[in-house]
Amino acid sequence: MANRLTQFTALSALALAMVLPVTANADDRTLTIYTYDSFVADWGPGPVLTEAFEAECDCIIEWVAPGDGVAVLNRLRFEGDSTDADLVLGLDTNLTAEAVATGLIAPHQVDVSVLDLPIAWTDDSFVPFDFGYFAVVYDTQAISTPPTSLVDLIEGDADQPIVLQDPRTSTPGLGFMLWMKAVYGDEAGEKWAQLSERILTVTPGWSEAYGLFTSGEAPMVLSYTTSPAYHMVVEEDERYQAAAFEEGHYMQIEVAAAVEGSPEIDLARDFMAFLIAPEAQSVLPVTNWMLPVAPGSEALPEPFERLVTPADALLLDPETVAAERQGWIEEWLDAMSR
Amino acid sequence: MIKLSGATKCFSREGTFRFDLEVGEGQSLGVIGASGAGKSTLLQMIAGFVELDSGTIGLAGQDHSASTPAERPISMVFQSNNLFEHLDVATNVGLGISPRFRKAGAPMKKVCDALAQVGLAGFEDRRPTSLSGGEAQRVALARALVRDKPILLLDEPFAALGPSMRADFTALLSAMQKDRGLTMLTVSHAPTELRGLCDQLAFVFDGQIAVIGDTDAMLANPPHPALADYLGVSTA
Amino acid sequence: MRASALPGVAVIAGFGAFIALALVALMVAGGSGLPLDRLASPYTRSLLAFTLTQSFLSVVLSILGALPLAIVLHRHQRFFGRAALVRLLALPLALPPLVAVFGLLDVWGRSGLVSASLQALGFDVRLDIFGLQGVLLAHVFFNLPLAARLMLTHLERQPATTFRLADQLALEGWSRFARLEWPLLRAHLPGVAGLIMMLCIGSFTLVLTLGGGPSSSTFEVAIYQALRFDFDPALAALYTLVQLILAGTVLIFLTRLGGAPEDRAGALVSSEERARPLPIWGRLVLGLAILFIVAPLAALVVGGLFAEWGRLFGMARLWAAIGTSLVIATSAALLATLASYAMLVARLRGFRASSQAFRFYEAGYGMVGSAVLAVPPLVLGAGWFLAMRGWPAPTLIAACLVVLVNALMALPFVLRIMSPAFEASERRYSALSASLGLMGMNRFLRVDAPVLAKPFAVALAFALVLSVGDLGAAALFGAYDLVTLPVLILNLMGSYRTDDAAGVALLLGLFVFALIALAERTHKVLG
Repeated sequence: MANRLTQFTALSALALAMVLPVTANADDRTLTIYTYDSFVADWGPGPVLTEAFEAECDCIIEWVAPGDGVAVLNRLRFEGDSTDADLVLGLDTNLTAEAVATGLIAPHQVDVSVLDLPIAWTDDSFVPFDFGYFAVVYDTQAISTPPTSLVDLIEGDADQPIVLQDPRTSTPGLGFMLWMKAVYGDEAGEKWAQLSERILTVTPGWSEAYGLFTSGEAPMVLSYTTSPAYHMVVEEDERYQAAAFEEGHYMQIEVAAAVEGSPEIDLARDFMAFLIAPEAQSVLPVTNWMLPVAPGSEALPEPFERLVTPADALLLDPETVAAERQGWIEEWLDAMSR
Repeated sequence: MIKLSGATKCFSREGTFRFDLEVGEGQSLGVIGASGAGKSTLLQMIAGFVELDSGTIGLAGQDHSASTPAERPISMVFQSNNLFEHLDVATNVGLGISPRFRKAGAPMKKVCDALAQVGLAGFEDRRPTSLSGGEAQRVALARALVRDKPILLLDEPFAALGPSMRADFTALLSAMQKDRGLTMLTVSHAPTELRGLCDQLAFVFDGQIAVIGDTDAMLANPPHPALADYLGVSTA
Repeated sequence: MRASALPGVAVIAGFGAFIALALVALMVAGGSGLPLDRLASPYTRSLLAFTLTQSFLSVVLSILGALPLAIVLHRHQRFFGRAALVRLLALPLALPPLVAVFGLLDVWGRSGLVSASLQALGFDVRLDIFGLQGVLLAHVFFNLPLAARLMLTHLERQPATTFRLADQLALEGWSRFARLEWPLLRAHLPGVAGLIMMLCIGSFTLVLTLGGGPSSSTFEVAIYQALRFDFDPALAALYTLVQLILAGTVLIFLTRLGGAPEDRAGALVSSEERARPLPIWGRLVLGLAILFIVAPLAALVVGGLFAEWGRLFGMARLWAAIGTSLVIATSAALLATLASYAMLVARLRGFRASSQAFRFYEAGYGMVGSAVLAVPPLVLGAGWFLAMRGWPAPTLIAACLVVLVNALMALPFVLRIMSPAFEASERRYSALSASLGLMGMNRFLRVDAPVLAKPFAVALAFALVLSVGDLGAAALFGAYDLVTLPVLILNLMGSYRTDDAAGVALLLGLFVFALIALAERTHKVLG
């Protein structure tokens, strides 16, 4: 028994040693940021931004990545007042109302006049740092005439199916549900029932859906207008393109916010200002594969100029989404099970 | 009846076994020897559980070197686990008649007769788990009876039995062998028990049959030094 | 109850409390009492109905498929590739579902191997894998090999003379099955079915991805949704309770059906077993098994080769993930093995067989030995995270939680591997040990450890395999920021890096296969 405990403790300690970030010098200040995991992956924006910000702030950034954006919010909710976070980064506008409800979000106090978003930004708590449009991405080798509108998609050929994500479990899934809602309002249920003929499957997350798409199972998938940019810039492959829809595209805006009561709230605010400054705005598109919210320090790679620019940017306000989401999901379930 | 000519098997770990042996019809041969000397391998070669690397095995005048255990004119009684625990006694015996045995008609009658012959009349519906070691061995013997093959192989048949039961079982076996004219081969690690049962003894040593001879003479006057060692008597 | 029962009782109580406290923490966090009215909704009922339907069908299909495979593999001990095939049987279970889905699609998908072959042959058909059929296909892919493996091991545990006797009596073909193999396996089936049922009830990613739409949703989806998007911890706890009760009911029913399988002592079938010619149906069974089990695995290997290995190996995160995975899996495997040992000691030595206490213990043993699989790791993680918020060293706590959860999830398998060998040794040596006064630690060191070293090693390897491939840890949202190999795969896939993800999946698969092969070399018994 004693043996086992020793062994277990030793292993746990080893685990701890392996995963704890390199600790800072005692006199450096530490900024703790909660974000989603792909933000801080080797290939994500995290490493580059860390280096740039630490060079000018005399501080150390400690990243905590508990999962996806929803996981970040839930961690905050679970921890409540005792949270270590100084800054949360990577929620989207569909989650901000619920984040505010925790009472942990401080006013941002950042000059957001540089923002260049398709909509006016009036929120005092959250600072947007990148954004994207949901879009149907299609395989040019399988589809010659992609749908040009939601109607087209809904009424199109069921032999060319689409893979969607589940609004109960994934952010893009929720985004598409809101897109349908924004366009069709009370008729959304009916349209969903019609569309269901063309849905190959509904996956729990974006990764499964996009994997099905790139492995050739389906010629279309719900993703972002920026998805083709990755393939064109990194893989130099023009095969996957986004379809422009006449009704306009639903937006996803990723935001950051300082945590109320944080001892490093000034640092957090500095970081938010840094995020919308030109240097970071040039980094984010090519690491996070989203669109910049403000002018960058250098031009984006050429393929970004060829991305779909929606005629209309759709967005439902966060409060409505928070209040109606459950009812809409039930409507969706009902329509899809018909 | 049993004829092994250069029957050879090589195991990577236990080494090489090579046997030459002839047992005439109606004879009863005992096989003795130390553990690992090859007694069991000899028995399993004859029964067909071990395939030969070279040499031949003839049984009842035919070459059986490559035939399956079921094709050989042999009944076998194992040291233990002779019975399927999930089947009743009658079915265990009846499977000796045919794999499609049902408890009815002539086959069932044959089973009852055989059970009566081994002194287990009325045991038909019992489960093997409710039998004593001696009873289980006699059920196995009953199955050998209904199989009606000319050769009977016994692997340590007394190991699970108490002293008085050993005597009973020996008597039963002996009577059966004489009665049916069976050719019998019995492997045992207790040579003295073979006295009343076997006309001849074969001593297996170092992977082959070292010496073979009349039972009483072999035991009284070991003709091979290893046999003397094995029996614990000094050579004359 | 004797002193030797104490560690085992403590383990069961400990794991029971680990689960119960997580649920309590969630309910307390929910505040306003249990939302019992939600249970009566048509939505909940439809989830329950689908969960039961798909898991029941998965169990039936897996067992029907596994039966002929196990029998062919047992009857024919010597054909080319048998050893590799038997090892591969343990592999699907260790794959993260997300990875397995893509292997399956490469074979059965609309543009997969089978569809492509059919089209090349001039048939104008595309297989439609999405829907209940896809869910079943995936579950059978995971569980048929497991079932075959468990059955094969059960047959191999029978005394060698049982099969020699059958050889002698010309019990071949159908009569061998009807007279011998089926009666032997029948008692074993309820246990196998129970295990598979638990695995299918808890299935989530597979069901959603291949289900074709929300009408194919398991109860686990509702738990996930309640805990994440709805942030309704109490509802999640309630749903978990319902799922546990469901699982418990199924298990009790199955136990009544067949009774606990009795494992018997006996020599393994010797490798010198007779070779017999493979009949046509046997070849057919093997061919189908290879297509069904090996083809998707092969597709994963081929897919993995396209990764940019240079970039992958240069990635710090990969090495960190390998390290973290190993440390967590090793700790979890050790914990699961030792906990199983304690539970088995208590079961075999700790009680008078007829006592009330023993019956009570058996109930606990049954729950921890199977029903834990019906508790979503996500719920455990969230509950404990809530319970321990504000404590220092959250990362250490998180690491410990992941280890505990992985150990708990490996326990049902480890118990099944260890218990037959343990019981066999118990029958042979318990009287002797008792007469020599070997007890407690002495008994462990002088008897159990040497006699059971090999089954222990196998159990350890298997637990390691299960933990390494477990993504459940990643689902402990908000509870940790440890990157394991499955998490890395998910990360890569979430960042367009599908090829690299396939590469890491291949690494994971190779690692798992190596572990199984190593365990096999050590010991033949697994299951």
